[in-house]
Amino acid sequence: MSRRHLIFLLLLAGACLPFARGAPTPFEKFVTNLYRPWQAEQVALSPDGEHLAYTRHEAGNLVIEIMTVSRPAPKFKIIADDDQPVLFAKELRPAYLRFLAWASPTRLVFAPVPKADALTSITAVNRDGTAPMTLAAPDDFAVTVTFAPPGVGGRERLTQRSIHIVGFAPGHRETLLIHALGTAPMPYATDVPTTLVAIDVTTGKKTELAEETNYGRYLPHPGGNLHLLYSQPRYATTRIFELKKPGFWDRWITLDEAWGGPLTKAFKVTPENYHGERAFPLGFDVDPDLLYYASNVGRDTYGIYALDVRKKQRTPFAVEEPHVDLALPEPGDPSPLVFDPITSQLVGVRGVGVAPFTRWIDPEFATLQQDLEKKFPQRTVELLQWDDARRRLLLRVTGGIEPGRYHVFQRPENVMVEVLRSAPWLRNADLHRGTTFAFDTPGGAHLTGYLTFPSKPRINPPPLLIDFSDGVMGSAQPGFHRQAQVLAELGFIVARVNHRGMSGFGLAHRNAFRDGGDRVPVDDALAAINWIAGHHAIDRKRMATFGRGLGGYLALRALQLEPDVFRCAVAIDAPLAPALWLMPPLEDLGPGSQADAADYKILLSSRPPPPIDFAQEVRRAFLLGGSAKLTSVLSHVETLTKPVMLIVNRPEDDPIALQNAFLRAKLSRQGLDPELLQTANPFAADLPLERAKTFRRIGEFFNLNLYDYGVKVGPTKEIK
Amino acid sequence: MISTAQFLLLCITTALALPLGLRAATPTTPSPAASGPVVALPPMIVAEPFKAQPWLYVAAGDTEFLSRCSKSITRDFVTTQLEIHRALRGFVPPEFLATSVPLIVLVLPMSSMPGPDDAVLRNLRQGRLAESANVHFLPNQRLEDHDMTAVFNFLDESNFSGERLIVAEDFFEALLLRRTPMLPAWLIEGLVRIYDHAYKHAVPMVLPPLIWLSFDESMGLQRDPEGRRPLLPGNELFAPDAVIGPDHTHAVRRQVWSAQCALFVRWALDPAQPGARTALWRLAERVSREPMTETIFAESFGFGYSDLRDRLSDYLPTAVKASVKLAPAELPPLPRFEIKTATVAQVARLRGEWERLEIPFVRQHHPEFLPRYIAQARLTLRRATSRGERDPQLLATVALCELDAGDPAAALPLLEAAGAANVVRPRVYFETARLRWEALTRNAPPEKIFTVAELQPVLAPLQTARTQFPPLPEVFLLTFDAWLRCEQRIPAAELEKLVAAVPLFRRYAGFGLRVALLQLKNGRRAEAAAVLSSGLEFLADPTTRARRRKLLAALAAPPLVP
Repeated sequence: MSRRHLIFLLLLAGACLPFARGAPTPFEKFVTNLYRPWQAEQVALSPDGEHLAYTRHEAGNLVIEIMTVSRPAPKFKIIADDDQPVLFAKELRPAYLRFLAWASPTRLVFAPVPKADALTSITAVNRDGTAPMTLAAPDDFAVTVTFAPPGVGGRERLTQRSIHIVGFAPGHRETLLIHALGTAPMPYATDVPTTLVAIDVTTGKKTELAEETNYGRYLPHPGGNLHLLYSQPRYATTRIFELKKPGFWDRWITLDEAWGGPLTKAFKVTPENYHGERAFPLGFDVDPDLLYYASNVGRDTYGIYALDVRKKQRTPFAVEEPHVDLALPEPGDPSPLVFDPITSQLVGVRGVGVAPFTRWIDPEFATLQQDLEKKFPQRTVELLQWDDARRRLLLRVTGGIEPGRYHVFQRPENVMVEVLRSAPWLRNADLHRGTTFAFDTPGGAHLTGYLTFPSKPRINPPPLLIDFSDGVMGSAQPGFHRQAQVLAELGFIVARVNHRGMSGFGLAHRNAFRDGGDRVPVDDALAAINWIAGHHAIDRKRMATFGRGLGGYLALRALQLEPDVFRCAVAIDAPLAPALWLMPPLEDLGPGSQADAADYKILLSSRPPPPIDFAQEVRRAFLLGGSAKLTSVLSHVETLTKPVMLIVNRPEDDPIALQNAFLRAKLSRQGLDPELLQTANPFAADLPLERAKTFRRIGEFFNLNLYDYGVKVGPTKEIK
Repeated sequence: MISTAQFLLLCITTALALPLGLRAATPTTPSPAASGPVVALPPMIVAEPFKAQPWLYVAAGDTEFLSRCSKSITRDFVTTQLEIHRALRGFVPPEFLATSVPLIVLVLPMSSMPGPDDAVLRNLRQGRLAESANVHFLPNQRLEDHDMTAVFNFLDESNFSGERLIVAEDFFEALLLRRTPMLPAWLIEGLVRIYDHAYKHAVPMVLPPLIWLSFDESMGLQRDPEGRRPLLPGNELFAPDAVIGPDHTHAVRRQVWSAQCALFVRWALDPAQPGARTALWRLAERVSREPMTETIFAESFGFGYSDLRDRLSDYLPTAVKASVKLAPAELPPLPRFEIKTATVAQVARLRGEWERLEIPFVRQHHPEFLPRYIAQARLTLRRATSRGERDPQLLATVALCELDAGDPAAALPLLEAAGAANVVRPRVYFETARLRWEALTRNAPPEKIFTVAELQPVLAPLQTARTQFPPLPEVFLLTFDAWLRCEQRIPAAELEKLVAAVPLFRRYAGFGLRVALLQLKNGRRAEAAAVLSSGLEFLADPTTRARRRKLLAALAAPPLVP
């Protein structure tokens, strides 16, 4: 062998080395880039419109960057928190902020999201990094709780309280209002109260404004007073709203017919009416007699209305949408109400339909919104914030192919300045085009959804993938969807249908599933396929289903119900027997499980019963309380005749993991060997590298079962 | 000092901003920054050396050269000229540049270039020029008429290198501006800005890193590719009123628009964007005839305005950092040419044409010297006419000279004579018609209408002008005006021809309006509305647009029944 040949071989070996080492493929890079934590998850425009603070992730840290809007200038960085290690994984779990706002043109306030094992503090800092100050730390609001079961001497324990940030006091940005949250009453223990505290963001001085022992969710009020409480009793399935009436011995009263007029009859919440016809308060106006509330009583979707508490009558104020709920069923965050930070007046109501939107009450913003939407056709434009003079407006532009760009619209110059991108590492030209669709089925259902088109389809026309996403009770999804992008990269036209059973599209839309069962979303998927085929070229011989959670269940049920339509399915963490999944756990030690050894004996002798899991009760009431029963995939395994891939991101002893293993065993006995991918490290399954590995396997599954040109494809069946 | 040599050649010194037809890459004039404020000097008069080279004449394509340099330098010069113009057509396809606009190039050796005239300077110093002012002048110059262009150049024969010649930026801009159908403003702005900064000697051309808004902005993006970037949305970038109207004229917006036009064109021409170059020219062709819409854009590029804005934003950090070598284009062979000794008639006509073109310029900038320039032009042309030369082109030049000199009475018979000799100069026919029209309407009240017979002397030369290149908007406008004051309806066939010309000059506000009025006169209400409606999207001025909308609304209303 000549020296030249030897050099060539060495170079070739060097070039191949990265692949031999298991370097990521272009597809894996695409996936990991998509799932990298985005920047600007929190963003704040300064009151003078001159600076913008936003979050980004850098070298294992959550960083706040401060940029100048009007001219190029170096950015200032503040490390806000560090990303957290994940058990058995190289990747870190990104930290996030829960609050980021300017107290003045120069002073910034921020607070990280509390971690699983620790409460976090609130910090204020000048935009140049000077005068940093911890405004509130968990220890600042710790209280002593006395625990005294019958017959046992009392013990005192110091208990930290979580901090809920209400926001700045109206008209006083220098004052931050917070709630030090109480806890649910425990038998034999003294109450942990909820305290409203005002903090001066410059000096750090704290002033307690009010304290209440009632447990529940205090809804924010522009004035900060604890006027309204969404009580959450530990052992009852009925929740009520309570109101504090000043001047009437300063006590809490139930916001019922006697105190709020006939409308408030609908304010009672139970698991049975949770997804039904009801109303609930959202918060007070700057006028303390005006209570905004959401209601779908006597109509299909939640509208936003106002109640004059003094007159006990509804005001003429009403914001309604025909196909979209303007409020989520749980009051509180995120509130659909938008208040002006200067005047504290309600200026708009935000909604989430196929795309997020705002119904502006302020006429200036209403006109602006129309003008701004013309600037970004085929995009969703959200007017997020504005400076005090309303000369600079912060916008987020998303949808279609765009993960998100932030612009500051400079009104005097009539110029749009792009200041940020959610994912600057993703280039528009490398992504897959997306659009929304809406149509009425022959049965009269109004369906909406999203389509993502592969920029490089492997075959033409491309195959279609019905992504049931999170399935039943899920809510509307973002226009730009990372998973849809990955599946489009695999060559699919990806259809995400807001099928009946999902939340946010009205009562009839959601309850059709409760009364019609799993057949309803599958019928909606078939209707969507017909609509899509009428508007876009698709390969009807190559259609597959995909879903996660209850969406995975629907993906498998679709394959069972329509084996002539769908060629294969992928189900992730799918509860295959929903009724079993919704059963209460066999054992629940309740809150005493964290007790120290000294308390353990007491617990054994006087253990309180476990608290009500209200969310689970709501699910049970909705999914099992209807006229139609959810069919178990496991009870009709013989109807599953097409290839399936089961992915489980849970520990092996989890009920869902056990159900999937059981299905695999049964299918294997039928001679249909399904692919079961049990994630090695469930703790890291949602992190980019693990996702890339999972999607690579999914790609291999589709290559084998959908793109295999040797497979005989059955005759096309028309869906009616 | 004024020389009394054989003939006088006028050369105007002007500010640096004065358009030049051809520019040496190493200018003979200090930069304004070095020499202080630039003042436009009045004409200087150059004497022809007693023992000068004979004039040489070259005709190549639409261009005529008259050179007093040596034969070899002339050959090099002409070859280079043809090459750089061909290379320009590799940058912009020839169909997007003005065609059939005759070009005259006069070339003289640098040795014959005199200094500024002392008498002129003295005169000026008494007026607007400070005693202490340094005097520099730019000898090379380009002057334009409606239907032709002339360029004057001094060449340093001892140091001449064709590699230092380029097509001047403003000449390139003029080629774009005079193209019919008219190109949209964003395309012209983008191409001109790119061309201004391009390495023009490289074949294919190389675009250096983009200067985005300002040096600071560009450096900011180089340092931080995720930095801020003002960008207009697609619909505003391409709108005819992008920088016109009350809300659109802020200096920042104008600056962004201009820079973004360049960014878009650069992005489309960058070979890293497959298919974009073809899409750009496809789009340019369509929107020179149709109003720009997002649909048309998407049909060319395969995506809409929002995606375009995002792609430009993504491309910007690359554009401010890296050069782009444009893809080589397939170029036609150079036209063959022959260098001949110029005839007296050729010398008189070409030099006379140049001197004639100086008259309007001098009238505008230095009226105190006007008589000398008029006399000079007449003298030059008389050298040929006194010898009995009756070449139609020469007659046309003499006629236009008299017209520019302000003697229409003397010009009209000469114009008519040139027309009768079938000269190819559309301006000759237009001026003939204009003078006749002025005579016809001079003493007539505005509401007076004329018979076809009365109008025929006006319409006939205009009809000839319409058949010649380059098409002139004023020819059509006068035709419309004449027909609008005709007591008879315009014949349908004639109207069809005029309507067919609408796409050529859509961006002239009055063009479509007059056609619509003619259609209304002929009872074609729907067609009139269609012309106005399609023209609306080409109008930039908000007031004109508002008026046009009002007119359309009136047309949409049912006609009044008496």
